[in-house]
Amino acid sequence: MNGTIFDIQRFSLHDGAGIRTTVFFKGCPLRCRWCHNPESQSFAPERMIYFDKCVSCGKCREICANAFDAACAACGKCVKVCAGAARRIAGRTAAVDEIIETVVRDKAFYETSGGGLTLSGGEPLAQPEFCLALLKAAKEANIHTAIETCGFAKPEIIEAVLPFTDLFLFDIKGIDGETHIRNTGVSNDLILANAKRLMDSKANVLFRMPYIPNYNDHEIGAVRAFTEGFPLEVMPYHAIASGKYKALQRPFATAAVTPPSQEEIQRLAEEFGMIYSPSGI
Amino acid sequence: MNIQELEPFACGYAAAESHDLEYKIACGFRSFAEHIPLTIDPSAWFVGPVGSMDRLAFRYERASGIRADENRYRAEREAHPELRAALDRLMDRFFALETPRIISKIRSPEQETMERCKAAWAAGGGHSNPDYELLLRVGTNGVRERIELFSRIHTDRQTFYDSLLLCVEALETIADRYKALALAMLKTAEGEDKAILGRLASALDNVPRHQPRDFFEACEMFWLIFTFADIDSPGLFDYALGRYYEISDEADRYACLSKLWELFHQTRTWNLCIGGSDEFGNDRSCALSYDVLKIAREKKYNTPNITMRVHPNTPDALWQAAVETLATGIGMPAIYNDECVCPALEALGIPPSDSHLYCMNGCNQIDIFGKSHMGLEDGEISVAKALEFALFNGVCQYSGERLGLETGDPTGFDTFEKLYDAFLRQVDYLLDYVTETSNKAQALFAAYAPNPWKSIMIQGCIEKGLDYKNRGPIYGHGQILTEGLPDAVDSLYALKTLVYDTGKVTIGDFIAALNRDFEGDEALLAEIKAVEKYGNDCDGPDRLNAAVTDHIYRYAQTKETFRGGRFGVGCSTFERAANYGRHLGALPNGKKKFAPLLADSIGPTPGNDKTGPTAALNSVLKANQYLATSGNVLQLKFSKSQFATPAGMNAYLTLAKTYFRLGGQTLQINVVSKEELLDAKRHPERHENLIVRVGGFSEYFNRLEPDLQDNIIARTEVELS
Repeated sequence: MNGTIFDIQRFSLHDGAGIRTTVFFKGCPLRCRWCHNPESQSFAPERMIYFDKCVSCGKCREICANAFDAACAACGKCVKVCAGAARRIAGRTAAVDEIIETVVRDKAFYETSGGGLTLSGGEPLAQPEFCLALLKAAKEANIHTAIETCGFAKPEIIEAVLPFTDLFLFDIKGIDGETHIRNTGVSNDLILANAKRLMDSKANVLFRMPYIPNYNDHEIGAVRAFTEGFPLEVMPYHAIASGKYKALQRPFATAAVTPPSQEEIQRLAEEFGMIYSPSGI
Repeated sequence: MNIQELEPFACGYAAAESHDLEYKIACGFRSFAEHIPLTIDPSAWFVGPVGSMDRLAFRYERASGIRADENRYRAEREAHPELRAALDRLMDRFFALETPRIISKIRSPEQETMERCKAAWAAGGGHSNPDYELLLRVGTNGVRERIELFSRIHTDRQTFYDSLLLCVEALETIADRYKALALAMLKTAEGEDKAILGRLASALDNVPRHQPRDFFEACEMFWLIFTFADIDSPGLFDYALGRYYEISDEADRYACLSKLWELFHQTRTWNLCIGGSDEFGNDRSCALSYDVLKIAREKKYNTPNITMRVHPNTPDALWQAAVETLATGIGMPAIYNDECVCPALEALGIPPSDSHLYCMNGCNQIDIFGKSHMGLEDGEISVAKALEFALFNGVCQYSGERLGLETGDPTGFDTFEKLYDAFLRQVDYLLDYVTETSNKAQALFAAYAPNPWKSIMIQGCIEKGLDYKNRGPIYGHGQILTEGLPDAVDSLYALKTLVYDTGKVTIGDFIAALNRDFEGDEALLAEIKAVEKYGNDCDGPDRLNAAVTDHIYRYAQTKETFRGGRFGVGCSTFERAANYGRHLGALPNGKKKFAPLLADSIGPTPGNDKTGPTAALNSVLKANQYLATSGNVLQLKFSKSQFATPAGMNAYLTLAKTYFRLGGQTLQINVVSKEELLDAKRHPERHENLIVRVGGFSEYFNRLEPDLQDNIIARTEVELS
């Protein structure tokens, strides 16, 4: 069983409890305007060019007419010749066995720290069979599992992964439908219904709200009310992703947004009873 | 000023002209104790002749024996015209006797070349951990009884025992002189000074002849012993002094510790060790262990070098205190795993009761507290140089001379096994050289630099009737360090992959590329870059590293030391790795000619560890840590932001605990932000207090060479997602 991922990050400390390995799935049904992993959106591999590293050696142009164009097939040949190591391909096909082989290597660290495997993305549930196969393999290896999800998936997919998922890190980006479509490109009907379903199922859920000034900050009360009785973590906006947008040659819609101060978030977290860990999204 | 006050050691030594060397040295110590000018600074609380010996023109040094400092001698001649004739007479005698001069005459030309080309060096000295625990417990009265008892057994060693008795007498003499001085000063002293002088006089009425009655007395006796001849490593500090700490008033004992810490800071005090278990797994930590960490956090000094020993029963609170101390950024404590170190020592024949008394002598080298002379400066080999020898038929690419073995034309190595075999033969050749040379040096030190004072302080000497340098200590194992092992492994693995596994390059073409320093070889460099590197949990390079490590450690252990033990190996590169690289040609891992080596002790090379700390730890753990009887240092560097929260601290605590549970030996953790380091390089004046951990010790960042500063900046900094 294969899927498309763009990274495996070991010693991950902020995607669930303890020391974890996070597998980043490529492809997402949402297009959040503040997305901090823009390379995770497309389901296909993509070329990234870090222009500040480019030494203008011209080798990429020699071998490819589309070295700087959007018509790139992401074959990766230009990466090998690049003298400045300014290029990379985000996204590759990976097998469940291969990923699990890497994941189990840190099992001792998970055991000592209460950590495990986190599937993130992109949207893990957008590659449902692959996601389920990874979860099952991890549970067979007796490893704690978490999914970071936007919740945009068919209910039967949620039902299928439920028995193999120890923790859902569930994003709620807003309650108002119109605003949600404007901010993410999709309606939140399915997302909220899935959230309710998980809340009713007694699953272990940590809700998370990205807090983006001028985009969804006014919905904080509504999100808190919706997730009543469950922990809610606030993830304040940051602009660290701007370099990735440049590398993908795409505009960063929220580039002009000023990140909220730690004090402001701390105050909101207290006011609304939210979790806040100052590491950002 | 008379000549005895000016140069008391030399006068005592010269007066005993016709006696044995050790007896003359002991007479020097006694004369030193009788005549050296003493002062008391009541605000320092504790007294000892700190650095007095070092300031003499004619002196005894721990590392090099008898020394005649010519600059000092000339300065004294200028300053004391009336003593010129006397000084000249001493110079005439001492110049010829100087230990380093005698030893340098016996050095071979080969030794000079091997050192100049940074292939290997060897010596025979080192630090030690004096057994003040026993001396405090029985007092000089008890020690004198021991000496007299054994002198009746070894009747042929009377001069040796007489020398020791002279040293005991010297210590008592200096204590008595301090007491008399304190009493004299007491007459005119006022306020707090008066109180301290009174306490001091009262303490010196009891110590060093008898066991201290509280922590103040214990500190005074400790400091007196510690500063008498030279400053060295305090070793198992909480084990030795914890009992006095327990029985003393809480506020007063902490004040004493604080004063002692100031004294440590003013002197170059080496390694202080806390924690650990006894041979039954019982935790040894006590109130003093916690307060050592507390005072280290408060004072933030770079000395002494603090080591904490851990084991499965180390209390969580002590772990927590250690992590909080690390979070201040002082780079201490270094953490050592009893469950790894003790079995390694036991494999050398040290029984569990003694293996559990290990501590550090100096930086990272493992020593048995008060019972060993296990070297430290025994020797070092460049594993990267061994590879260079294998690739150039024994010819050093720095000097162009043939320094290694002739293992054959490398283009004839048609399999990786042949290349690997040539490499191991070169490694063995360097180990043979370094162990033989060290043994010669050890023998020379035994013959020309006996140390009767240390023979009192290290167990075994009194019992055997043999000097500290001459097989007296119970344990006399040696320690060899490796340099550039990770660079050599990455180089070997690049050759294996590109030449022998995939056939992308021939060995001849690869060597040609090394010869032209990769000029115009961008394609080859890109291929090298793409090869898996040690430190990323990739079995290929990691297992190769394990195999090379295993070979070196086991081969060295077959070699016996002059001191009556075997040579152990460790890897702690300190700041030296960069310099080793400057004496090497281009390496198959892509290192340019004369560029610094990347290796950072046993860790992955900086910039090549891309998979995070768990992967790096897994890589390191594939090599057998249980063979390392010297320090096998792994450094991790984390940014301050990661340590900032309790959850962050907890993650690092877990990381360390897991590493040790899996059999890791040593962790050194730096907590500092990259921005802070970069800024410190640009504006050193703004970062006077910035301390980083460099190999074996913590050092002020501003005092490091620019190369090393860059290396530290580049070194494993794990960034957040």
